[in-house]
Amino acid sequence: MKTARRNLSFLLSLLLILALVPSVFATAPDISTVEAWGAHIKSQYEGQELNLLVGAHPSIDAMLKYYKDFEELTGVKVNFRIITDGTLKNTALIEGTGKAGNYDIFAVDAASIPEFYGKQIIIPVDDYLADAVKTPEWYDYADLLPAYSKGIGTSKGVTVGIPIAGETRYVGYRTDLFEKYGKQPPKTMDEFLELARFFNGKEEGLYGVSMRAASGRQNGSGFMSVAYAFTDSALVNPTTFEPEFNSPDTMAAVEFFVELLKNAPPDVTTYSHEEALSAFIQGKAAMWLDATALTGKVIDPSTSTISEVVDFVPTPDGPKGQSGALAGWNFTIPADSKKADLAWAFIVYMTGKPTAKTYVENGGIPCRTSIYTDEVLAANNWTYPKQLEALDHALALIDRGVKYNPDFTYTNDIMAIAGTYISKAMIEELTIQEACDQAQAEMVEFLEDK
Amino acid sequence: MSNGVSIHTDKRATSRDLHNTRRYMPFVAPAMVVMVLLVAVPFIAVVLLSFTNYELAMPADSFKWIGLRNYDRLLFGTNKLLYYSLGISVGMMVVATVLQMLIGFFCASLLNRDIKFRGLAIACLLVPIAMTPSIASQIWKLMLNAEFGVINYFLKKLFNFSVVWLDKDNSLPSVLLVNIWSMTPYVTLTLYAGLRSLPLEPYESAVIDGANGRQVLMYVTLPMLKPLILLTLLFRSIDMLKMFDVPYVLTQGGPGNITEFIGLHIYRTGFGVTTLVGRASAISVILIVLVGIISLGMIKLMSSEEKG
Amino acid sequence: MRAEEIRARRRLMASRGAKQTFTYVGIILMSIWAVFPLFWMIIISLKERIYTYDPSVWIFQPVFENYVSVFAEKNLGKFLINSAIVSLSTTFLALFFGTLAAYGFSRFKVKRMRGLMFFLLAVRMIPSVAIVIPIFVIARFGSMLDTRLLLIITYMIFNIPFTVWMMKGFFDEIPKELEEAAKVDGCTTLQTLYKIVLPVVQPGLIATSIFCIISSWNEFVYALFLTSIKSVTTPTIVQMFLSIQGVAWGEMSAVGTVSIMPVLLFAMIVQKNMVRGLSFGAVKG
Repeated sequence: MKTARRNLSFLLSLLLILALVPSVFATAPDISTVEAWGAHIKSQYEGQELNLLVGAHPSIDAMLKYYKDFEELTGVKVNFRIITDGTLKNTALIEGTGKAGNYDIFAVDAASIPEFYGKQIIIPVDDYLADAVKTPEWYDYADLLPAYSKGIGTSKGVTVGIPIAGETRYVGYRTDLFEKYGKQPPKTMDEFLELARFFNGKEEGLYGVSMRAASGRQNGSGFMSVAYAFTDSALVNPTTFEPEFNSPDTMAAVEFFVELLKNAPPDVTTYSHEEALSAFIQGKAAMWLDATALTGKVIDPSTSTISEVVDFVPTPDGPKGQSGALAGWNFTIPADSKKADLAWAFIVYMTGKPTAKTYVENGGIPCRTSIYTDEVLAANNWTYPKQLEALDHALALIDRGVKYNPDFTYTNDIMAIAGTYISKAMIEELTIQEACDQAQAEMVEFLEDK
Repeated sequence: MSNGVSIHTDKRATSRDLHNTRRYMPFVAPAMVVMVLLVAVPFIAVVLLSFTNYELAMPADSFKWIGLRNYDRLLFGTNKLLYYSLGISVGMMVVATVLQMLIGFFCASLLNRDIKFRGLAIACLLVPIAMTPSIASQIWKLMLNAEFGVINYFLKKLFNFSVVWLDKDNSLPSVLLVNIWSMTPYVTLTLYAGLRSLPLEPYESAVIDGANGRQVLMYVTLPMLKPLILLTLLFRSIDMLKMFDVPYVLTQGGPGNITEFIGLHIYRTGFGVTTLVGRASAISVILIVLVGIISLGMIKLMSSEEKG
Repeated sequence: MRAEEIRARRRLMASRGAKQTFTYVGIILMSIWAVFPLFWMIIISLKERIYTYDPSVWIFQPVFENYVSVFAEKNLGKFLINSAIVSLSTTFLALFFGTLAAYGFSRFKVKRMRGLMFFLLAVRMIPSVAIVIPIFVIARFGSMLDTRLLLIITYMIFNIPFTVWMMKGFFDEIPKELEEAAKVDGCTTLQTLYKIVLPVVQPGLIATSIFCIISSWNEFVYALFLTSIKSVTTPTIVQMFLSIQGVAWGEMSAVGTVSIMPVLLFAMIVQKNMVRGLSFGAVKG
């Protein structure tokens, strides 16, 4: 019965395709250039509106500088709702609950992609990518760094998001201090810890290291950026998705993170990425481990007091070898959007190769190989090679068979549970062992209820 | 006697007319109907949700009734946060309300003295009331920053020491501090208004009887202000239990869960950390019951005061 | 004898002087404490970004780019208009319903009044995060999401109870004789309320409305979840400035400064009424 139906639907779709093919050829629009494509889009959608729910992010700031070009090209009006990344996920999930179709594009962070796809709030875009009319050749999907397009935009092998900001994490360090005391940047986690201890309090008001560690997701996220050096299951087992938070490897990682941040400013347990970055660029910390996407703020003399005396090295190696974060943001299309095709057109324009330079020049976080290898741009930003080097370490983690953000629905929740208990260990409310055991128990209980 | 806090009916108003439902319905009914419409459905929904496993945006087929499971997990599960959270919320409610009342009363009596520029001082007190809480808390967070906050800058300059305001020892007092900043002006202005409106005769006779300042305060001022003080106390304590903005911005509940007050606990369970709307609803129900008990108690106290 | 008298008077004056000094020092400290965050916010809105984290910089060339940017790029004007429409409308409606009910509670022997008043109070206590999801879903089926009307209606949840509680206090203070005189002249109860009572409780109405306006103007949770593009209000604009690269303190402070001004000005203009109103409603005069 089932097979019969499948056969029937196969036959029907074959017929449909056969019927459509001539008509496509007959009316195949000219989309070979951006202008021609724009005219084609305009003929279909002129006068319509597109609503975006996005986070406050440099990539979005960059797009705000040139989205009007898309409006002019196509006669479509684009509205941005910009909110902070902390509430973006909740707001999008509530929208997903209501299925009200208020938005046509969500910006979704890498860690939330499995949850959004798992809960069927966003749609796969493989069909769009395969369709030569919807995705013109000049878009050049292959030019997106595979680490990003595959690493953060997919779940269960399905492409659901187009990266608008890819990032790995690396260590920023103060070259003036390292020279003054004759130190080398850290290659291993042991060296990293030793250096943090060395510089902590070495000078008036100087701390060893600065990282995000505010209770909950922030802390969990900070933890993950060092954990994979010690363990394959930073949050859960990479294949079974069972929590293994009190396994010896993971406990070693927790212990390292707690020890490391004893050399951070004393209120580091309230630091989000924002405070962590501020402490570093205000010269309060000798080292900093966080996102490559924040590099702009570190090397910009108008925001940073250390822009002249900073350099970067990849995430240090640990007992498990090389590792590195893979995170960032994607444009996705909500399942309840009534304008999915138009949304896709907007994504094509904004993230395509032709606008990539405009995007980066306005401060957007690059995701394309052609940008990283562009000599003019690389000359303007000396950190590009450093970022690519850090990315190599992130790829090493993939080679190990581990996905940085576990590809299952509850990554965010597990990360938050981990971050809450590690935070308790940091303020010595719990020992490492207690924190890991209790986190494990709560993770198990949490997943049991699913 | 009738005054602002009387909720028992006026004894003088005994004419038949006043009992007539038809007479007062046009006045009372519209507001009540609006309120019931606005609140009943969401409230029932919250109660119902508390018996489900509902998560934000969960696929319909995995949505199910789980009976008392949420309450069981909250009260007897691994995570004992609910007790701690309720504990600090009630503790903070008591401490903050008492401090607000004391400071507020003190400032009100200063204002009530014969001073110049009173209008200007009152205008200053309006600032914390009018400032958008979400922005004001952000500004406080910046001012309290241990490394580059203006408060530590002053402390260093004037007394040569600094405080890590948001670490594990100080984050609760810091939340208290910001709360006192934002809420005390309400108390000050209300009590100042109360003081202004007190009749003069009792004071005159107290002076004739040779009472000293403390006695006047204890036996004249406070008894006359009592109803107002109780009403202020009621509103302040309820607002304290609901407190959300300040810890949400300042600490996000941390470090650890040290500042995870009950409002924040609901948020973090339902939206912020996990997306367990069902369980967050169960916490809400518990909170509503608790607040109900507290305010019922206070209202009883108030009306017995009036009768007595 | 005479010398002693003079000495006593001097002592009295000295102590009065000391008391006076104490009072003024107290008042000044209190005022500085209350105003300082606003002052600091204004400073930051005028500082260049790099100085945000440097509290030792007091003398600097003020820049206005933050203000220009929030109006030109972030469309603050639209947010302010939304906020104004929502706050004023919800306050008007709350005053209308609330004042009627308060008058009813004050003048008639309402059955189960204590229960009803308690119900209103209980409603005020429900945390908004607890009921925002059901409201979202209901609004979605009523196609009301992202409309100002939805916010206007939702804000009545906390404004009506407040109005009833506050206004009942004011009505209780008015002597019955006033209305009885009017009734003798043949006015209906509604006419009496409108013509005689309301003018007398005007300070109370002003005091109540300013508090309703402030709480609606600053409301955050409902505004965040129930609006999306068209009817977003000012408090949620803060969200734009909490970027992944850090807080845009300058722009956020500029918004904070612009947004507090109308409310603060209004509150200051009606200050006398507010305080008189508070006393009128709060304690038997």
